[in-house]
Amino acid sequence: MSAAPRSTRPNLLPRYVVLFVLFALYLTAVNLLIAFGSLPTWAEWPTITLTGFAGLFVLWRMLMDSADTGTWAKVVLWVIGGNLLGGAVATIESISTGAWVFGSPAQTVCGVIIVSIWTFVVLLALIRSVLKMPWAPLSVARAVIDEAVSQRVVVGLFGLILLLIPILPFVLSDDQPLRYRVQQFLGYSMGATTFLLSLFTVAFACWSLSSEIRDKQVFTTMVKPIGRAQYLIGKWLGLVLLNGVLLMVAGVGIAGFTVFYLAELPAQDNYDALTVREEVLAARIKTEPKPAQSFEEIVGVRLSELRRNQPQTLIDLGRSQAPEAAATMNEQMLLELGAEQAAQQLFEQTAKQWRSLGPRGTPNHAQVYVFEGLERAAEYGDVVYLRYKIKGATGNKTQVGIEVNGRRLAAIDAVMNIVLRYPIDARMVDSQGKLNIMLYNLNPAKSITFPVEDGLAVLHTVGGFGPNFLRAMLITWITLAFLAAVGLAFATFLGFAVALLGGFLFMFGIYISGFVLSSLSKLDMSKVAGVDDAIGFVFKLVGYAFTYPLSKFSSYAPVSNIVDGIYVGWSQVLNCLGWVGLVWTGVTGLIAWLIFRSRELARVQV
Amino acid sequence: MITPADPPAIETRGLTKVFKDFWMRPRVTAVDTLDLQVQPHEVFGLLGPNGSGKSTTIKIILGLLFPTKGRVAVLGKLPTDVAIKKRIGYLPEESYLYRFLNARETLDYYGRLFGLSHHERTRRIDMLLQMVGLDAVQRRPIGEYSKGMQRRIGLAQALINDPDLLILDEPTTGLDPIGTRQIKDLILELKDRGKTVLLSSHLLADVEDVCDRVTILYGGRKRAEGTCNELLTVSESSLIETDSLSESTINKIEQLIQSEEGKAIRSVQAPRQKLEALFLNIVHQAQNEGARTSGATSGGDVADFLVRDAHMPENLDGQALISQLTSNEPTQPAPTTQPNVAPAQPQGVDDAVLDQLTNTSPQTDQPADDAPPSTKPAKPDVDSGVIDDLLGGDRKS
Repeated sequence: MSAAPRSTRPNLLPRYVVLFVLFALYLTAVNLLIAFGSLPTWAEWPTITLTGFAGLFVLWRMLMDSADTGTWAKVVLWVIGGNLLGGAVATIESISTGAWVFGSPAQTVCGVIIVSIWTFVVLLALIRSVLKMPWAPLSVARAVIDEAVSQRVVVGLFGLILLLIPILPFVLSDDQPLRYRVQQFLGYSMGATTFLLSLFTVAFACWSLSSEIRDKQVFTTMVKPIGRAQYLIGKWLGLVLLNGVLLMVAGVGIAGFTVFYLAELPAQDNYDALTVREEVLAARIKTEPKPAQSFEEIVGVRLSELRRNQPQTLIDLGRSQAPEAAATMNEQMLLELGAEQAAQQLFEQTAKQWRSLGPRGTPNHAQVYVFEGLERAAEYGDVVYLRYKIKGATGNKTQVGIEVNGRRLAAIDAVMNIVLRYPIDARMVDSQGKLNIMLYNLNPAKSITFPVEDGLAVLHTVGGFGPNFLRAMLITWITLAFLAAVGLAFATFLGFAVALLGGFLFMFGIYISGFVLSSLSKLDMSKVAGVDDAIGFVFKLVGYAFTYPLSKFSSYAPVSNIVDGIYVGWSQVLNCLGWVGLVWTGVTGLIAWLIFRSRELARVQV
Repeated sequence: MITPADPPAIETRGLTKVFKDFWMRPRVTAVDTLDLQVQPHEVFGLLGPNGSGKSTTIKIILGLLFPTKGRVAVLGKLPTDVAIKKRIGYLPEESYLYRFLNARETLDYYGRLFGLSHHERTRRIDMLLQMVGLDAVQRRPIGEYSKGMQRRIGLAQALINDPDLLILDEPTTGLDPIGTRQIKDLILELKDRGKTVLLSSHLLADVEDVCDRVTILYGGRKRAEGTCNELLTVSESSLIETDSLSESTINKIEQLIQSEEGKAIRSVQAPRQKLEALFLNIVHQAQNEGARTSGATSGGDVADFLVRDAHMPENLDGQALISQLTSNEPTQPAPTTQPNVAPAQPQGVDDAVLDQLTNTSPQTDQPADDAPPSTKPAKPDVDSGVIDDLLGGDRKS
């Protein structure tokens, strides 16, 4: 009964050696062909790409068969292999064109694709090897990744991302300013990646759990020493790590194309180039203006004037407010009622007036706008930008005078209804981080108005594109982690199809909750014909109940922030991590666990 | 081996499982006030036709279903206790494994669930793959395996943690007779090592061959319980087997019976070989001729870590082992025997002795009768020499 294990594992090392030798031969051949100019120029980059793929294939095979070699041998082979590949491709590139990997557009495509694939393979290998640790949830997480890889889901998604990203820059039209092209590329590619990964996360979370319960693999797993909470955590962790890999690949692709290709293209003019550099590929903080004197103060002064000089007007106003109840009220009560109404009207009027400049010569032709919190503006850039938009007949032009902290500057040119920027020397920010900007109307005939939403703002740079992009990606990752928990939670008690439906509805609910909420707040049910007040109230209440808890989700807008070059701070990332990553995901996970714990995993089989 | 000090490995009291429909109306009573006691170190058979509640009972024991009424204790704990799962191995009635993993990855996955170190996993996986005869196909995804091969890998995963309690739900379905015989041998080996085995089956031969005690279920209720011997001995008749006799001898015997007992011979037949034995012979022959197969091979010896107990003395010789085994009669529990010390197969023990041990062990619960506690295989229906040859081809060579 000797059970001495004979060596049952075939040694695949010779196979790798053969593959490497073949690869090296191929590489030398390509090198020689290019060096002697035997290869036509048009064939160079496809050949180089093919080389990259061939090398990656060798490494991929090694990864797949990695159980044969020891962990350290694997690491060493990977490092050597990776350097060989990277070095070889770079060498061929420099020999063939004398340029670095990111030279011509074609080479950029090759370079970014190779780097993306490389990132994908290495990250996946790294994660799979870390998850080999003997801890039950990690084991489950690894099974999730293996399942995704074996089902070609991840590879398919990876291919799709890899296909979308390099194509986009080339379909964007050449005749528009570069800044728009960069913005469009960032918007589309990040939006598409987020959307695809959201769909994938929800769908695969639902599939991974519900199919395992349906096909009963869960029987074999759950009779092992793993608690149901651990099992769910393992599933979730697998999904989060998968998303991390895919997001990383997409990020490398998007950032690579933006920085190495798009940003290097010729801009239409200097202004265009400056905009790309300082406004799109930057991280800026947007500061909204405040009035020099608060509206409450202004209203208070005006109101006490009214009380003193025109009490009868206030009493009349009070009476007109409540014509029926007025008979039972004394003058004092009517005065207070009128004052309340007048304060509200005065407030609205003051706010409106503050955003308008009367025609030149009138008393209201100038207003002061205070921008605070600009202490660090000078650290990162020479200029801060006043962003402005003036309401009016489209196409009309006007001029606005400007004084910053008491110093008069060159007048601002404005085209109606178009968002424009005016650079201000960052050194003009005072020691308290304040900019007092006085604007005055130079047009004697017409008054001008800055709309509330995007009328006036000061933007100042606080960082570069790279770190900002990384933080935006982190926020996306956290939200995807939440979606993974949602998908799993649905699958704890529903079959795949219904869970998927629920998950998708939830996902879309999240994405449109901000919009629904703002619509609800503007919706006046009393104006909807045939709707009773009570019904209207219930309608709004239900709407709020559903959308309010989710609306926080839309307050993190990493894509639009990156497109507009708006700073995504660590505080925002931490806030997102706290709310979405811990509170929401935690609560969702808790619900999922409570359901899963009390669920009988087996079915009627009698 | 049953020591009264040990709590039952599995105990159910008034276990009832009623499946309800969507409106919570009772629909099927799968298990009905079932009382079971599986003692430590015994092989317990759960027998019954399809749909008699065997699998449901097992799933309740494993915590995959919750009882409607009644109590269940597994190794002294509730089935939902995660910690006891470390000591349980389970082979489900069908292969519920990941189709995308290969055999090695599958065993690695389950090994990691048990928190086994990399080194230990590698060691056990190598041995288990060899034991179930899948070492040659260990790189193929399980989705490509035949049903029998999936059973084999299923068995291997049930053993990866060297369980104290092994629960086998219809283990021999889908297996070829060699695999069937191998599973039976394995069960006996594990029993020898002091493991507890709960076996559910509707294949009577399987149960008869290996089980110490048997419960027969029908409609979720217990119909009969006892040792195989108690249940199967037909006390009203006697069977005499000799080498072939002539007509005249038979007549003389009949006359003798007539004069002594006043009874007549009911029938005289040439004994038929069992199909199982015939089949095993044929395969054995093919293997000897070196015929090739792309399916599962007949497998190797029982994995070492399952066989040899750490606290077993290495120098225990064959004879000592036999006497230890044969003295373990249920009617006379040896007071000195520690509950966990199980007779196992130390390395270096004479192969022939071990082969015999494997086959005699199910008989240890039987009354000794007149037969001496010999090393002679007590099973007349299977040519154990052939099986031994088949299962460990190198043993007898």
